[in-house]
Amino acid sequence: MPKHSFVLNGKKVDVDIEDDVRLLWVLRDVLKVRGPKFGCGIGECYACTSLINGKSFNPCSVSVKHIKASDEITTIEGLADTKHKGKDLHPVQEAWIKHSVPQCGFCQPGQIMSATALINDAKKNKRKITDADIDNIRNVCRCNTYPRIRDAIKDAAKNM
Amino acid sequence: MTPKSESHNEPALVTDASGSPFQGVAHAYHESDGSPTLVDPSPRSVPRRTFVGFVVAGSSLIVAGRYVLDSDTAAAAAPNPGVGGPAGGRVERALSRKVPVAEGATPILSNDLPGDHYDFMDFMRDATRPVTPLLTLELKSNGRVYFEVPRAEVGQSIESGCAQIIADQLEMSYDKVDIVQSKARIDLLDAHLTGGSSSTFSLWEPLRELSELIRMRVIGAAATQWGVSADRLRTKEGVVYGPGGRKASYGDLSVIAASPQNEFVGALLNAAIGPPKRGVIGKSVPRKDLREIVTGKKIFAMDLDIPNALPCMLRRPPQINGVAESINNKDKILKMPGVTDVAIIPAALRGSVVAVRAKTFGQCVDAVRALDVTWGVGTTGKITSDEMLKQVDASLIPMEPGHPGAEVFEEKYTFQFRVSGPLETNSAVADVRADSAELWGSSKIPGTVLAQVSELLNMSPEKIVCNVVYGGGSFGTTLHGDRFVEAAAASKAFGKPVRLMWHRTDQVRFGREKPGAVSHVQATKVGNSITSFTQWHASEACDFTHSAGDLITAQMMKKDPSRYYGNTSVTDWFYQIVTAVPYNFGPTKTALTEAYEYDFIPTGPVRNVYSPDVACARELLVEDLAKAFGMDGYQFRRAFAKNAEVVAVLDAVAKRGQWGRKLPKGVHQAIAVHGEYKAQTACLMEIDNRPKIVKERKLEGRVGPRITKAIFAASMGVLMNPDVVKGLVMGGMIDGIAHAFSEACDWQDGLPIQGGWDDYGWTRHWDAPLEFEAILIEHSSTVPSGVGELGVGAGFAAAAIAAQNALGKKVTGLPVFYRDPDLIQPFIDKKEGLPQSPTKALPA
Repeated sequence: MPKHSFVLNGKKVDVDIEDDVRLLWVLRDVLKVRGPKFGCGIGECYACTSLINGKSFNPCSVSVKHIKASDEITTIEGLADTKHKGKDLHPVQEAWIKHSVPQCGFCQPGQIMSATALINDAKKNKRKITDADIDNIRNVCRCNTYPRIRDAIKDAAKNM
Repeated sequence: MTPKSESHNEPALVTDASGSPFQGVAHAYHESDGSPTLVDPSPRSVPRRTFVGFVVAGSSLIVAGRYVLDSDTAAAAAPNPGVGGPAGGRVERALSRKVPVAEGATPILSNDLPGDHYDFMDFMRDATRPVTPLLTLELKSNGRVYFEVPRAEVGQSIESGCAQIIADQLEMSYDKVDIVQSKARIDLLDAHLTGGSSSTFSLWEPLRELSELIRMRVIGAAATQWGVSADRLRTKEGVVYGPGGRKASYGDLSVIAASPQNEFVGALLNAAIGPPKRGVIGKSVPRKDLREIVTGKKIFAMDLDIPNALPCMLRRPPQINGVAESINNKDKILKMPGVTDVAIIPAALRGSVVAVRAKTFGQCVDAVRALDVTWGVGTTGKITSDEMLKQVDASLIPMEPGHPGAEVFEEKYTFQFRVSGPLETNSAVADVRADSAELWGSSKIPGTVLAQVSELLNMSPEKIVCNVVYGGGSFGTTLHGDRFVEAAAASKAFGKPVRLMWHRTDQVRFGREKPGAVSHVQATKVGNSITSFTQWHASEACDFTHSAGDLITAQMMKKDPSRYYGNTSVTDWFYQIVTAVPYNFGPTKTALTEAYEYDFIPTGPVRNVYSPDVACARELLVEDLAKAFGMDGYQFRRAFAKNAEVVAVLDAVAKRGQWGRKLPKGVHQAIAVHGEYKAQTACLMEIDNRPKIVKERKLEGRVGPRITKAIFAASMGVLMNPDVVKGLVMGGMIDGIAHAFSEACDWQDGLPIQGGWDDYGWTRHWDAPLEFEAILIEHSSTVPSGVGELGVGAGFAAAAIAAQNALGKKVTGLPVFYRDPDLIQPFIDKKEGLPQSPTKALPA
């Protein structure tokens, strides 16, 4: 079986699995990394949102063969360790706690990763987060925590 | 008489009961040496219903309790100040009948409806009382308190709420209370049910009594140790304090307060009567699982690691309830990468499906898509939404004509089918062996799961273990055990453990739905009065065969010859005890009729059940009435409000939302009310329908008008955790926006055409209001209201009225943008069964 290597949450991993298995199942079923969730499997709900080299993407919609050995994949489990040495949690995670965002919590790993990517992108391009930016986040929340996510993103952006 | 402490009632420590409101309450501890003793109460003054405590044998302190009824008729006639108010019904009725008089309105008092006296929350409270002896609360030697709650945590914060109740009554830290979801237990009968927003209300008394019992035991233990009278001791933050600087932790005292055998404490405790202590209750403490959620550590069913339980997915038929007659390429499927097994298994509802087990879920999808199956159409056939709603309409009770001389306002409102669709799809792990089975998954009625799986496997329920896991939402879905039935069937067919997970597409097409409905509403007007109000509500049959959770009623509801009548009798009763009308409209009547059998298509009591549609239809007609009176929606509702709580919530949203403020052209306001779960609610919304906004949104494939602002007010009982309450009403209210604007399953050829999140009109960030506020008013300080579903009714009604005002034409069909060509997305092809995942969706 083909071998695939990539960097996951800061550590190099190797898996033996068929080329066309989507990265989400490599993470969940093979590597037992279960933060990214299955909400649709077809890139509509964004519950699996993770980062590839700092940019947000849906691992349910990428075959593992398209992941290079040098690609750095960050899932929710690895977020706290990124760019935030010395502190317990990432500012977005802290904002989520401060604003009591989650209800069932199933979508929240994806929401947090999408929010992180959005804020990082805005900082990089030296612009402020607008309501339109947040409107354009496609992550589904069936519990409808959307207004609190909005407040948490604006708050987190101040601390990043 | 020892004065009562101001902050809480301590009936057990009162040394002289005369003159006390708890007259006749016996002491738990003897005055002189703190030893436990039963003091015979005066027979004339024993309260009607009391709670007696036990210590259960163990090395640490474990308590249980039991409700006893007093047969003394004199006492029985005395008013019961306990839960539910004087009549056992809605608390707010006792509080006020006076409402302001408005010019131009002469309200005629309306009659009460059954739910005004006894509602589903009361039913769940009463179902929980008899099994209270089976619930134990444990104080461990490390000072932590442990409780297995017979409820499911699906996002509504029941786990945290139980911890708050216990910590408050016990006077200890919230962080040291550990709550675990109880496994299925046959002995809990119909008390292991999560639904009707009743969990906090039904556990309120038992948990407070059990907590107080522990507190008294540790006090008694300390009193004995120190040789002082128990009434000289105080508790705070998990420590007992005595004279002379003495103190001992609950944990240390637990060992002393424990008992090597079951011991009848004999205390007549009434700690649950009266307001809570408010050391923890009333504070917005964080959810217990908050940190786990934000770090990705919270465990749902598919996150469990059960040995050898491999992924399993299903190929479902081309029509609902279809039958898999044969698999025509079984050998080919078994040779596909990762695949271990394939077989036909019974579907949870009717008909059958094909199950595939493989190393990864993606490989299951590949195999499911490659299956060549011969399908039979099954008993439901190629049904359509239009046909079903036609039959529903035909089942309506005929509306009486208005009485002579009255002006009649009448309208029929049609509501489409809507899938419950939590983000976690139907997921369960099953390990079925020759003479035992173990299951893991989220269930709100695990007792019924035992019944269903027992029947499926022909195995005694005692041999089956159903472990309840956190749910990724439920909204009614986990009342039904579909996931467990299919997982168990697959595991049995394969002789191996499986992790069954439904695909999103199947969750939309085959998942439990809120049934479509037609609501016929009529009001008659004479002069300045509304002289009658009638609402006949017809629904496609709502499947309540999950029953209340005990094996007996679950099976009875489904057996011939009462197979279908059993379900209807339950839904008729349920509708009557949850439906109320918040206005003085004179003689008022309402009833439910249903069309089709309960399993014709998969339905269930989805969030707020019938009430969102009932409220929406009523509130839309009220808009017509307001117009006829020359009043706006706020003035009219206020003038005809049934009680002061309705007025209070209307006033609250009108004030905060600046009702009547000058609005730009294209921006409109709307207001609506609804009462349920022993609470009264109002919602004010503002909608932006300006051409520029609408055009931009439509270009993105979104609903044109947008709810920009929403203010929600709730008049309710004890506010356990304001933060949680506000979050839940916000969530329910936005459900209402989805119902009003875009959410529908359009059944064509025996299945909904929708199959995902992009073609099914669920709300996303771009639909949620930009400004939201919840105003909470506490009208009762002794019992909590229901919260989980509270936001939906008034939220739906307000959003529908907002749309009506914005569009400038009457809304009689919901969702407003049903079959709107601008919103039509490419639908997921039904012929494929399951859609394939994209392969290279990488960022630029």
